[in-house]
Amino acid sequence: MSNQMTSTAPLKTAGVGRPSGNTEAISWALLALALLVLPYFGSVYVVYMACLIAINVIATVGLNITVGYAGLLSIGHSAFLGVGAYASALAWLHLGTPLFVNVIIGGVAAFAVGLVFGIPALRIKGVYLAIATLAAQYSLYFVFQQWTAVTGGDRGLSLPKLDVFGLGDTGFYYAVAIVALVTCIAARNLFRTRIGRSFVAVREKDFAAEVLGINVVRTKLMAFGIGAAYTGVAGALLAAFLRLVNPDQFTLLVSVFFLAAVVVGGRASILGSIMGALFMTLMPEILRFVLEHTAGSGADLASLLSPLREILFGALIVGFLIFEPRGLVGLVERALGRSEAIEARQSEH
Amino acid sequence: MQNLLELSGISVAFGGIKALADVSLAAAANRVTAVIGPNGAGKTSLFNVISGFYPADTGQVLFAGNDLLKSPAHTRSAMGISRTFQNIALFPGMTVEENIKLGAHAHLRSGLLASALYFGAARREEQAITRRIGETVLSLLDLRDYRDRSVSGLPYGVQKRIELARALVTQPKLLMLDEPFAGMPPPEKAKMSSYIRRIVTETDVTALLIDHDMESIMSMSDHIVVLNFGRVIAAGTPAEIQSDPAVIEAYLGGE
Amino acid sequence: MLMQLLEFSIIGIASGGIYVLAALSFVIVYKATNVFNFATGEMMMFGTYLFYLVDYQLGFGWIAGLAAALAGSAILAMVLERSLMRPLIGRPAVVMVMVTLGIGSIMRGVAGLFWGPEVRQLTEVLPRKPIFLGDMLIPGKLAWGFVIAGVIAALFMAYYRYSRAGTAIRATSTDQITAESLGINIRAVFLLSWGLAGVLAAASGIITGSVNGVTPQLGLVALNVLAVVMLAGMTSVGGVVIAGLFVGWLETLVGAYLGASWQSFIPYLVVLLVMVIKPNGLFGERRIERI
Repeated sequence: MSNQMTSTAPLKTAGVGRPSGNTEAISWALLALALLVLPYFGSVYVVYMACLIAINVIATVGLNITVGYAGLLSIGHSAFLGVGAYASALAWLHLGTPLFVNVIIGGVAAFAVGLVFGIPALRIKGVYLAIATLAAQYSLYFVFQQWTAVTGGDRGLSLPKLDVFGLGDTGFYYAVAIVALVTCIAARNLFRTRIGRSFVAVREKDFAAEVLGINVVRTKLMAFGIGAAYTGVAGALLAAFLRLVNPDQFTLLVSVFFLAAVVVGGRASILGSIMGALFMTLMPEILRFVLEHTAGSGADLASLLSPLREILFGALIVGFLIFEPRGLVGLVERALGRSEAIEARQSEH
Repeated sequence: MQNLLELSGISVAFGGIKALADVSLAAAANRVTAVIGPNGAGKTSLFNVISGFYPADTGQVLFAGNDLLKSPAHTRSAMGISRTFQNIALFPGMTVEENIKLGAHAHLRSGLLASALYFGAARREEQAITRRIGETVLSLLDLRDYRDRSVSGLPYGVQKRIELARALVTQPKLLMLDEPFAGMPPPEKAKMSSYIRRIVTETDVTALLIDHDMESIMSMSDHIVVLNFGRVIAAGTPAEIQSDPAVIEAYLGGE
Repeated sequence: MLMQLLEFSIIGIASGGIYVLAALSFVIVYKATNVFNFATGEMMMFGTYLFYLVDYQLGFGWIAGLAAALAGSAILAMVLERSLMRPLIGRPAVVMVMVTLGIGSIMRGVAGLFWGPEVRQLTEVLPRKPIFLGDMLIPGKLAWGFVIAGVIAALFMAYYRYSRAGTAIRATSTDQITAESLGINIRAVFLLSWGLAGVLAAASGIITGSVNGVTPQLGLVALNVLAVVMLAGMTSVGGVVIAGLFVGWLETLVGAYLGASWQSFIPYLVVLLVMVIKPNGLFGERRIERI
């Protein structure tokens, strides 16, 4: 197990918290600045990708809260993406509410659905939650597909173009960037305080957490619900981004995609979530680029792409879990020479 | 003399194994009560029943007049009971300070929204608890130097003190310590002994310990209960226990 | 009316036989190594494709195909255990499960690359001729599939109950440390249990494939088996049989009376109901965690 290092050198780690407060505040400010000026320097494609990445970041942070910080395995997570997407799309189509309201509706709907599936499962043991999330995945797919009157069945829903802030596509980008920034900082803050600490405590030793007065079941539910809510928010933004919502956007492969993002980026880390989402969003683009240039003409790209993705996502999950359990964040820290911090914090990861 | 904790007729069986059989004992307020016995005597099982992790087949546990067996495990902290664990249940992924802050979990109030916002109420609360920990347990248990270090990798004795600090931060009425002396060299045992005595003398905490280190227990306990094979075979002051024939037989016959 | 219900019921129970084998595969791995193997479905799929490869594509006939499939699956399962699961011992369960999920994804992708997404039909090993029970018509393949599944399940359970290896597995599943101190080689137990799981999964897959053909998605039906395992309780080998037949029965009835889309949804409904009503499954033990 973990307690092998008896180090006498002062280990300035920060456990759940990270590098000193000021460095971090400055980093966030710089990031905000970079996001602000991006449209002026980047092409339409860059802004498009940035939107997609930001949406994926929000969903990855959500999944990380559930899986990474709280240690609850959620396999059917793309179902919550779907709930958020459908809920917000329906609100917009039938109520005409503005984007930010739809986003909140998406988050709340996903949170509620998350509770419905979480409550039965969390009273029992860990693996059961995984099964419940799978049940969520398939039941919700069933609902998305069958409730044609509301969801449009296999064809789904199509949404008109948005004009946010009167700036068109760029306006939408800013909306997404703002939501992403706010949700990331909020998650970061959560883990500076008692609630965040309780998630980690429940993950690592739930009996000790109970003794400290933490209601383990309620804490797990909260972690699961918040994770679902974040993903619902991402789903709402995705619906507005793609202007199309249909059941095939929310399959098991998509759930595996986000799990890979969490594992690759680094579990229990907001920075890791950002890096993981970035990596995973760009990966299929790179894959497609490589395929187009190596497979040559005549190769049926479309049919190759899907199985290759499955292999890639699976291999990333397995590879990182075995060889670099701390994910890209771990690689970065190692490169920066903070290797003592990593081993000391290996814990039960 | 008031009894803070009273167990009567507690029996617990796992499948065919009787872990505890008709155990009754009392821990007097503001005193140190120790439960001793050879390995496998049922001491940790006893703690687990009080903590609410094991259901008792028969018997009653009264804490300050409340029936403990009816309440779920996570309510113990709010009631004023805290405990340490035999194998040290610290959270490896967090720093010493964060671990200790978790002791105050039941007292802290920041909700979701406040925490997400951080600046404002949550930050003030965090700063207050950081200060309180620094002024009380960190000094009391000589842990100041370890404040920002990660918990894993620290020496065993230090980890035991951290766990004690965490248990104290909850400001308990009853402090349950599971093998506080285990794995320590004599000088550290003496230190731990004096820490525990100091806590009981300087505050109104009641201590209930389990251990099988006779010497340490004898020197710092007010009342001792001896378990063997899940049964109470003797109870009394250290002097009485030392000369009790049943106890001598259990210890000489066993180890 | 009643005759129709009875006919559907028998068909349902027959199709439940497949679930029983796949569920046994899950349970044996879970009992011996405490890992919930989400790649079980893909092991089913892999075994079926191996059969298809050796029997049909390479033309060696179905007996060779069968041998290759069962042996190949056992070997693959053991390799996976030794190379990927073993290094992870001691890590939290979440990690182990995620790795099996990743493995499953890789296997689906590999199958998709080699064989493409189209349905491949397996050679007709199971007699197609329908069996008549009075006026009721039971599809031949299903009936024979059920018989074969039953035989394999019975063999497996006998092995598990009565052989020394089976006893070793049961001991390890109860308490690893004690088992090891009694001289049981638990690493061998891990390997054996995965190997057995591979064989069971392959058998289940081949029977399924004989009825429905094989695609890379074949393994996803194993997720339905989760309903069975949950219903039975994760730890009950005997309960799995009853639960498997029940879920097969329920599915067929729902499919017949409510339609195909409800059919795929039903197992998950069962899972959720079980979780709410009887969390430890109908036959599982209530484990008290020793702290």
